[in-house]
Amino acid sequence: MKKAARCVRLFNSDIAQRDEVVFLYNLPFFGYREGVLERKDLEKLAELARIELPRDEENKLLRDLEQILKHFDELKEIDTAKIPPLTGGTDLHNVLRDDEAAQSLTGSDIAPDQFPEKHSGFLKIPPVFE
Amino acid sequence: MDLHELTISSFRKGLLEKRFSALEVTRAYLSRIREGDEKIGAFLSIFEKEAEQEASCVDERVRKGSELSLLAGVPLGVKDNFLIQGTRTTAGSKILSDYKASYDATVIRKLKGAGAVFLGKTNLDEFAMGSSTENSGFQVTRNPHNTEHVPGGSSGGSAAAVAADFALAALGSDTGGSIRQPAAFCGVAGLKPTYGAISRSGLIAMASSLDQIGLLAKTAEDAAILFSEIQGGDAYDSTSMPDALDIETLLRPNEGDIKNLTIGIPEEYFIEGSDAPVVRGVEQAIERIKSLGFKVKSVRLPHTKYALSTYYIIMPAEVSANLARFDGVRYPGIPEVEENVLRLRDLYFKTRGKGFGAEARRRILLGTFVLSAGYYDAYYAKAQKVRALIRQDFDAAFRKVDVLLTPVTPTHAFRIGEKTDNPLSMYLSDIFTVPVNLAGLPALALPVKKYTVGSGEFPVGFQLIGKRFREADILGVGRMYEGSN
Repeated sequence: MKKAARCVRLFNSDIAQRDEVVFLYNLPFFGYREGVLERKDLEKLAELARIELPRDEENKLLRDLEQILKHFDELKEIDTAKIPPLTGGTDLHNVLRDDEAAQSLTGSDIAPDQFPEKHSGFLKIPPVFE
Repeated sequence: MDLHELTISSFRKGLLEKRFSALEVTRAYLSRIREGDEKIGAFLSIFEKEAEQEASCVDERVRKGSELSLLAGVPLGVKDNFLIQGTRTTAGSKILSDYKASYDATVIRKLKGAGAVFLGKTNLDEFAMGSSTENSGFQVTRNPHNTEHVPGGSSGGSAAAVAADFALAALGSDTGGSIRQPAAFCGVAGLKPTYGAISRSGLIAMASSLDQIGLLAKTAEDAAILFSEIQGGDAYDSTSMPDALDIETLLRPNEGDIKNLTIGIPEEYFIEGSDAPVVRGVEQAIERIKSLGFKVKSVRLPHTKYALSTYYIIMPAEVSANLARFDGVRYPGIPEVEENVLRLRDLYFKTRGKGFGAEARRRILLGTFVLSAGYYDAYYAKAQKVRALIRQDFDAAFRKVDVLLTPVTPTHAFRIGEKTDNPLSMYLSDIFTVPVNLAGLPALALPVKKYTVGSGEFPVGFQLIGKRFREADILGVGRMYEGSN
């Protein structure tokens, strides 16, 4: 809560304070340091990813993730200071098309046909307002 | 008609000469699946009626003497992460167990237009995440050569189906080796085309900068035919490239041109830790390539050893974003969750907790971690830079040679259950396949020799890696290699 409040204040205030925004962005969410991932870190990750973890899996998951992260440490050996990142799979840029009406992917009734539940002409989904 | 000897080209010949009908062949495959798939578990669903209908349509065209495409009547398996309109498409995940596709993937549309016959949907690791097809939410697929061993993954159902003669060829997808590794484990050909060579519209996304549609077939020639029918740019996938391929040389390679290609052997792919039978098999393949008259050179790809870490950072990052939409609202939810949950937040957590299997959950969490504040630069941004170095390695090697020859995997098919408890050891088995995806290159896995199910032998494969959009080179070399068998 504290962090959120601070963000709001910063974004509402002078743009000159941008450096501080960058600093906030770099502030680690987790306690992960040098190969140790704690249970509360895992809980935080699960919260961010919106996944309920089975209690009996947590210890193994922690160990697995730690082992995998440790393996990633080998990348630290490489000097990448002057290397531009490769951000995608192709060299294509700005794939645009003319703004013209064309046949759409499917007829308008096809997607609703695949809907699991319908109710007098309406499509039924779980409640999303609380 | 012997299904084991049948290829796409011999099928077409037999069909046109009226030695058999498309319906007869489709029925022969369907009955093999009915009798044999209980032991293998290659298929998640079978389209008996639709397959027979499509085959009959092709027979009607044959009777009328109408023009037939190269794939007319060819019975195919389709990995269950491709959308076929109106049919259940699960991606091997419980979270999509009730999902029916609302449109056709572009490749499915093309294949329908060509009159190909879809026999059914094949099993895969959940959302194509895995190297063994043990991570499917529904069933384990077994290797037809030894049912105690895995078929590889994630296109394990497709590879097993082709190896067991349940289908003449099959569609697969390859994000880090998911076509080539099961092809090698099952002794069939597997083509992972250049990133952008085939539209991915309608393929359920896993890691979008790496995913590529490809295929499993019996021979390099069959792979070339199937590939030529499904390749091409498409307005529904802005990463696909129109008119990048020369179809004529793909289908009818000039032997003289192919013989002039120089083959490179990257030193970094022949490291300690590979099993002796695999090393022997790949050495055998190199000897045969030399005896065919190819010039063979040693090359260096110095950043190879970093490819695995790079891949296992970038891929989960993209997975965590792509799989965010499976939340219980946008797609049919899981009934047991929906019935008992009233709050939206709980619906998200419980749907995703119960709907995703252990490997999917692990990768989503890992991806969330490497993208999170404070770790983004150390992991994700770093990996993108190393990815650039890996691609530069290939670019430099391809200034000296035209095609690279490497192993596909460090071992042959491992035992079912052998690696499920240790995800890192499972990841390490992808060491020779992931660099290709990071660099966006085409690669073909071919069996070192012909392996027959029941011989007791474990197949060994080798990999031919080509320049971007030069599928014709690797398929051409592959066809010459097979011709010398």
